[in-house]
Amino acid sequence: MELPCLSCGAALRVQSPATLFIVCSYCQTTMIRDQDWSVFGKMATLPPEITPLQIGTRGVYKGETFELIGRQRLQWRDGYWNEWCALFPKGRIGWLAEAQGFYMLSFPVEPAPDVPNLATIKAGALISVPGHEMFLVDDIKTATCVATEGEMPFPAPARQERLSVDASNAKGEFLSVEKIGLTQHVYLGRYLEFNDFKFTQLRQLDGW
Amino acid sequence: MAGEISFNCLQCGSPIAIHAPGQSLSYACRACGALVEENHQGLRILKKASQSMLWKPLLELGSKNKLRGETWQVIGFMVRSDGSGDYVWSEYLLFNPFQGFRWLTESQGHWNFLHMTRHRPKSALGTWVSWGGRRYRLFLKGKARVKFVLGEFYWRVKIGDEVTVKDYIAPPDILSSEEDGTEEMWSAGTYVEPEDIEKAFRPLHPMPARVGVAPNQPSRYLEKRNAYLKHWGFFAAILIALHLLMNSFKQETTVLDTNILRDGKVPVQLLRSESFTLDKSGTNVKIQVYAPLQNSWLNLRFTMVQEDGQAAAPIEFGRDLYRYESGSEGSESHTLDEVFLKHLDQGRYRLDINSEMGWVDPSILSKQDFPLRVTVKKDVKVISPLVLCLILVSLFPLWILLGDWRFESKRWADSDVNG
Repeated sequence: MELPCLSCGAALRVQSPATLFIVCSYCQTTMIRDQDWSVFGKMATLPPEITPLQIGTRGVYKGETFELIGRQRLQWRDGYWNEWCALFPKGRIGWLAEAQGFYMLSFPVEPAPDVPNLATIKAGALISVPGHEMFLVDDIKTATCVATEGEMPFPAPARQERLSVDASNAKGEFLSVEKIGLTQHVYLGRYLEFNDFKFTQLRQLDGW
Repeated sequence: MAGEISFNCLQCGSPIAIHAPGQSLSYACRACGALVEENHQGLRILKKASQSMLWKPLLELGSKNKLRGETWQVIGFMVRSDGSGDYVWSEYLLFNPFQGFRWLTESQGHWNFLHMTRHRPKSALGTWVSWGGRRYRLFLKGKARVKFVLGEFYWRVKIGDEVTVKDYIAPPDILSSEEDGTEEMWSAGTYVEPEDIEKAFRPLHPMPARVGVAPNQPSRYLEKRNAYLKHWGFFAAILIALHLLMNSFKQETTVLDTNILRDGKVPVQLLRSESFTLDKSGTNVKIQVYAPLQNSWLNLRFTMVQEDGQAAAPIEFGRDLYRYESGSEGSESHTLDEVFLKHLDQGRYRLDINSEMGWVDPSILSKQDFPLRVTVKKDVKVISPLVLCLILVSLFPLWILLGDWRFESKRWADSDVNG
């Protein structure tokens, strides 16, 4: 479907029926959907960065083609990473995290498995998920959203804070627990190499 | 370079290029060595005054080079030392916006190409871990301390930062863990021949010469060893097969089996066997003698005579038999002996035996007649040519094995773990 920007009138594509939050790519106006769309505010601009991914990039995972429809740039004490919202066939949403050349693709786990209390959890703690090898917590960080672009299935304004726990296991699987406000989600996926995704529609990078 | 972002050093004003914007957090000025880092707001602040510029990178910062099928830009240079500070090595941070970061390390002229991994190894028995389907053995445990940096890094680098390092090897691969007290990071890498680095990176200075054997340096004997072992097994199998085949054609037959009566009372007696025939030239024979002695010894001197006139010289050999049942030396017995003769001509033969005898107790009672049993077998199956061939075939592989063993001992001489 198409949504005319409530501020500048530009026609914005809305690809996912789950989209609740959208950033106008022309005027940075943010809109939120309740019963209907309304203006939420203005999005900060994304700082310069070198990433081959962009909204519209397509990739393949387990034979299914997905398209990146939105992303959040997150910042923590010791760096940055991107969370790309990936739209899969039948409206399924996955998340492609991109950090220092690591690529992690994960999906929300419903119902969420039991995880230790995030307030007291430490790096090195173990998390067991039935049917998977034991996960070891790599790090726990408080992150802030620097900027959002495109579509998001939840409100994702700039400066929004989240608690993020990353864990991995010997099978190359990836587990993350994200807590934004009072809602907590568990995501399960894999560490993958750039070439595994067979990306197309990548961003042109100067000099590369 | 087109499209390159840069800023001016907060200390000396020199331009500092940013090759990995959005990922790099620390920049060490190439002109003055000042450390500048991004703070929480993405602003750059001066963290530390200049370092003494004691080290120069061999690989040019900012240069792009193709290694193992991908292009890598050298963006950071770091010198680290062990806990004592005596042992120093170099590390180069490589960047590719698609593939991420890699490390090239140079230590004593040996190079490793490493990537960080989130695939945790599984600990196996003792000092072994398994990762990616291979088993790695612990080689070294120690400290690594940052001594010097240039260029840019994706974390907040500090001079003096120290981590605990563990290196596991499965040559030519290496698996390395760094632990800073909160996090354990794993890197996996492979040994790279210095010539490959030289070709790919066109270094600024002469390449350092290789010293000793690196922990994960591939053994040039190893490949040979496996190839030779395979060939050796093949040749050994052929030899054994040939041996079995040749022996299967030989029909071992007894051509003489006789008892010659020895007079038990005389010290010296000439005995003579019946004749036997060898119907082929080049035959081998085994001659066995047995004497049922009692507290006596028997010295036999054989002369094998060809009876049918061929002018071949007679073959001579001697044997000593004895049996002492009691006495000051205890009991000793050697009453059966044999002789093996090869390449005999075809013809009729007999054995002339000059026998000399002695007794422990020379009383008449102990002097009894007895049969001297002589058997002659022809076309005997033999194993000695096979053994000889196997030894010859094994010499070169053994030399390779020895080389491999010496290479491995040199490698492990530097290990502080398995000694």
